[in-house]
Amino acid sequence: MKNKKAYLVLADGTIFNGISMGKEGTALGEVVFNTCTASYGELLSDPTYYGQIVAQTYPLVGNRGVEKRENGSKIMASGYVVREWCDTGDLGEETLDSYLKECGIVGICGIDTRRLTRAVRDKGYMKGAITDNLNDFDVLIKNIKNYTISGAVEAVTVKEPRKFTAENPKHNVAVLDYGSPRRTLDGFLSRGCNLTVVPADFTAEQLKEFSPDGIFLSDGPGDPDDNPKLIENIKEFKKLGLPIFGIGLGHQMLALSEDFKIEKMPQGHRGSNQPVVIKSTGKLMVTEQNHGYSVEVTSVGADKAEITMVNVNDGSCEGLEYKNFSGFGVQFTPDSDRDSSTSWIFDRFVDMMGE
Amino acid sequence: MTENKYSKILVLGAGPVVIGSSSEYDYSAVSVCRALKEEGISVVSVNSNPDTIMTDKNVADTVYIEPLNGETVKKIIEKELPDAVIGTTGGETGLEICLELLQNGYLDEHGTKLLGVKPETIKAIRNEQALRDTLENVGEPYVAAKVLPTDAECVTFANEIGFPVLISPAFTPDFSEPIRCENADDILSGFGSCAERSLVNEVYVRKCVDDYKEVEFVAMRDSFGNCISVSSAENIDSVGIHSGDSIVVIPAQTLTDSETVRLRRAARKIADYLNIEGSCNVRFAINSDGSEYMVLAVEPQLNRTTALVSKATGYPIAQVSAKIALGYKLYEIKNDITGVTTAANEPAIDYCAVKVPRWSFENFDAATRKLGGTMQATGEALAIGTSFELALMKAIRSMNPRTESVSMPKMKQKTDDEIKELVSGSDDERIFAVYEAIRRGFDLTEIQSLTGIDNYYLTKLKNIADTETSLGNGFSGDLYFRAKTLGFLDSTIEKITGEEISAPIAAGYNTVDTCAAEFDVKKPYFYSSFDEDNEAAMFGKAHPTSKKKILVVGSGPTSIGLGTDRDYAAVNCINTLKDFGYSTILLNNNPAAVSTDPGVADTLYLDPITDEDVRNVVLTEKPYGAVLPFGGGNAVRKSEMLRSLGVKVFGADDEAHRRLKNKIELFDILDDLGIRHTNNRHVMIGKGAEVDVLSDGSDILVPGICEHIEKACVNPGDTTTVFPSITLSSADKAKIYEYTEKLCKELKIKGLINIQFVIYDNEVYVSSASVVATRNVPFMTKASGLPIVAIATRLMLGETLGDIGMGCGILPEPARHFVRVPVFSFEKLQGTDVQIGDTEKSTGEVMGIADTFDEALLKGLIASGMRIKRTGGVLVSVADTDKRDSVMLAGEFLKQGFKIYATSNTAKLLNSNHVAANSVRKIHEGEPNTMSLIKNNKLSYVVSTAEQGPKVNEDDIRIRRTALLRRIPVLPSVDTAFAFAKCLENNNILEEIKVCKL
Repeated sequence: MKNKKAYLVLADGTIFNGISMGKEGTALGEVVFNTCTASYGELLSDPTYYGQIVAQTYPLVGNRGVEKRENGSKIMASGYVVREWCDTGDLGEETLDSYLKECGIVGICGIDTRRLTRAVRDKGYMKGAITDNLNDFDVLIKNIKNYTISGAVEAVTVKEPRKFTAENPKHNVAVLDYGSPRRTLDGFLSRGCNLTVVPADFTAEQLKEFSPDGIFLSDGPGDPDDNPKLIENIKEFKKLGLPIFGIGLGHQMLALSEDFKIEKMPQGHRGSNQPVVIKSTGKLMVTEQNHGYSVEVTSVGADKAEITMVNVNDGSCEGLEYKNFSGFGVQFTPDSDRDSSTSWIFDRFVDMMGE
Repeated sequence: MTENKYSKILVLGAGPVVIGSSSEYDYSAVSVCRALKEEGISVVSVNSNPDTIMTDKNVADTVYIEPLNGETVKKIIEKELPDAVIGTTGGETGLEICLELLQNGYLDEHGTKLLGVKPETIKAIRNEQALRDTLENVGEPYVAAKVLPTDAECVTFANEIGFPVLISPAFTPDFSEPIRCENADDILSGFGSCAERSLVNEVYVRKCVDDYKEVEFVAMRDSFGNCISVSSAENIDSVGIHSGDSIVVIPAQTLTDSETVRLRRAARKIADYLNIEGSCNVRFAINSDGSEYMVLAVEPQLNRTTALVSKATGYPIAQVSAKIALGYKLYEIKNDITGVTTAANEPAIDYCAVKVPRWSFENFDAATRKLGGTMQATGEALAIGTSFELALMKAIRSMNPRTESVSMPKMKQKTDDEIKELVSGSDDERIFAVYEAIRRGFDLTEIQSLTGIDNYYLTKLKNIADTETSLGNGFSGDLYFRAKTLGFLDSTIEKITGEEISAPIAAGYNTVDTCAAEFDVKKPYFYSSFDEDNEAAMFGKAHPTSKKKILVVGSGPTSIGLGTDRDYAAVNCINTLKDFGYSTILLNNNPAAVSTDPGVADTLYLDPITDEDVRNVVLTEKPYGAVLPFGGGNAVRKSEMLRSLGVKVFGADDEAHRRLKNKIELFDILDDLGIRHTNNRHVMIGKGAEVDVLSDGSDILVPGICEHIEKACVNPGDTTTVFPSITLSSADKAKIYEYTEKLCKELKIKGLINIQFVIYDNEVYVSSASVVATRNVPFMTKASGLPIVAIATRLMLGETLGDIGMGCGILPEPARHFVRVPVFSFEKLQGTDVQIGDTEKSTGEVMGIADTFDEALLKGLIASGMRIKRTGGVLVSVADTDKRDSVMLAGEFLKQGFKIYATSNTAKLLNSNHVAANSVRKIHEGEPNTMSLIKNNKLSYVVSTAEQGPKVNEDDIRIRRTALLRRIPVLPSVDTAFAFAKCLENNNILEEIKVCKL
């Protein structure tokens, strides 16, 4: 292992000393922590982490290198923070370090991630940088403070429509790509849905060309209120009379299209253990989430929609069922695996599209 | 919101501590009892084991200490009429009893529900075949196995499932290590010997997965089908070594994402299929490239794994299981640690936890130390660290505070060849040999292929070894810090560098909070680390207390000699301190203990108990005082260090302990006081007696005088103990009291002392005394009804017996009779002789309570697992010194219609004394012989005692072991046998045995 010093600097001037990993240099971002114990490969390639410096609370990372199947996807996070990079390098697969380098991601290891987590938790929201150079500290702090995630969706969305074909296709789904991880698409493909993944700014008129049976609004990074034009588009989508399903950012923007409000949460949901309960059945779902905004519970008009799912820990809105059009949204990422407690959500959308 | 609809529930215990079943069952049962009481439910508990908190009256409303079997539990149900029974707290014994209760609709008839596990679930997994059928239905892979009559069929089957396979005799009562077959020739050559030893001449063939990794997943499921995964755990040793004997890491380290997802999903599928309502741990074997996995076991009961995972993650599996059993949904159950989340939150871990087993081989001269498929560890230690290295190093010194590091000085003396041999073997010290091999630069790939230990762990060991090597080459600040973060003690570093550390770095503490710092939590517990902040100090500052803080030092892992009685005492001590307005701090590392339940002490430190580790806790907590005796010798040895840090030491300290432990010093004191004592050089084979005494420095209170059935040469822990005594004269008792009073006054004992006596030729002698012995305390607490530890704790803190209002003297003897019967684990320890002597060998005990002594003894013996028979043969094979007594013994058995067998000399002696005995040949005299008697099921009991001295007859050892493995009771003492024969005579009908409340 190399031993080049690196630093994680927070906007309030706190410095964490560590060792450089992956690409050398400086990366700015919103510092968030994630409580998953594994899945760093998937996590890094998840577009919802766009513009974020992700710190893993689980301390031992890289134990089995990076699995090959994860290599196809691009890293979306701006920086990666781990306590200990465990390089055993015996698998013949790629090490975490070389993977980060290849993707041009600045990383840091060897820091007290628990202290970092507490700092981020207590402030709720924190910007920072990973750097190997503290010479112009004031400039660095200024850069950190000025950092905003802007044009996040634009940056991660596909540039051209892309088609995916299911094995025994029954439906055509238009996927508005706000920055959704690839594995969400598997949920539709494995259920007989051909997909047309379109750029985020596609309009209702453009969608019509593909004659979809349903519209899927994907998850994505950033503040939903930053995308007024996309929300206007969604209003038009609803007029097409097709079932609409949104997750994460897509769900939030669907709510905004009904004039509900979005709030910045005091503490975001980031990890794979967020408990969500379905109000009507009392069923629990253990969900994967990465978001710092949510639909304000009190802003949901009872005539327009019903809150169908809530987070067990903080009671925040996790699912909405709309009354004046055929549509629903969930805040978390459903798991396409049929044995999981959330896979029924894909089935429900497929059912809504009919035979 | 779910509401509780039960008002009275019976909770089953698991019985005595034996290898494979320690205090983890009590920990689970206590959590369950508390969870039920929280709901206002009246709790009835039953256990045969007195060393349990679940049988304390403040934990259960009604307590039964009775043999654990269907019959007694039915009698309790008929008396108590509970709404429901919870059996998952009783381990496999508990599940077996549940099945018995379900037969013929017994529970329905009595309007009692079975909670915690469904009858179908128990049936679906109750044996290997049932489990395989279940897994077949679920569609999960299992370890293929079959019983086959011919070698050809074995070969065909092996080809079908793939080599290697293991073969062993089918249906044999004898223990036999399976034979590993790599090819057809191996099967052909091994088949004969296996078939021969099988009762049906058939052979059991199963796929050998000994080289696979062993991984476990714990799922938690409620009756609505909501399910979460609590954690994974990975064994460092491969499947061939029992997971109880393996170092275990939480969470699993070497699985890829997709492997983790697959196994977690499988565990969940199985839990769903079995309709689990509570916890379910599923053990898997998975090959190194992850291409194949199999389910090894499915366990719906609370057990060692659930206890370990609970302590390692902070997720209280037993407590949550109890609430689920009552009908609550996962998200309706509050998480007490965070105060903001619920049981629906899968714990998020931001550390690595390592469990290291503790063996007690040193108590058995002839035990082989080879590890394999049968668990041999008596206890375990858990340590948590921000890195694997830190956790491992701490776990190793937790396992035994005298083992400072994974670097063992003894290994350094060995040659390369010797190290290689140890690495290739699988004894209890292999990890130290592996480390030494790495330190010497052996190739990691080679070590991996010899041991099956994943390269990941070897690389971690190499990090430690490289640091040790660097330290040997010179000291620097950076290197010192690195060594600390890898878990080196200052004392170890000083030994390596030869330099004194001028500026020692004290550890800080991180928290176990179930949420990886995502929330600011209410009641976390702590482990040491070298992070930048000390979270224990921060937590203390944020939650100040005006109470005086008292540190209680625990006893670490359970071993023979450091039994669960100490945990029992520690918990009672903490509860008393809390009752009297102190804020309590516990330092302990035994994950199976009740004391390490975060709900017990106000502040829990899960850490090793060496000087440095204790000092660190003191530096952070700055306690007012400390109570050490319940942690045993290791804990009291910290007294001087604690005083030097300004901590008051309450109760016995090192000085008091040392004076009594050193026989010469003790006998000098006794001489001065005019107390007769057993001279060290002279073996007095007399009657044994003991007292546990409460003393305030001037007055004493004796809860009672116990008598031992076996002669005084037997370790008091291994004796059958009777209270009230049956043969002691009032003069003996008066003398015992007089000596006790004199000694306590002289020593100015404040607290508890145990004194052992020998009564020889009508004279009373003191043989030993200890301020840290608690082996008999739980028994006496239950027998006398006096809260011994609670009073002792108050005396330690300075109250007098008068203050407490207890009076002094000796308590009047109770009307009922109480017998403590030791329980051994000889069958688990290969190569051990079924004998008792001056070294303690028992792993646990049971208690019999009845109106007469004979019934109490019989109940105790039944509870200890003895199969009672009224007919058949008794083999009497005794040492010369026991020959005289054997006449009366054999006569007693004969009178009751048993057939007596003895080898020629003994038979001659018996016959000449008019006791009809059949002469039988010794093994070496040819068949038929004593062994044939066992094999042909002629014997109901074996009374076999060995000559004193190091040379034990090998044939006798074989006889005793064979009898043991065939579950024929082996009575290793003529005294025990005689008392047993008498009580058999006086208890005509076993069914009439009554159950009684404590």
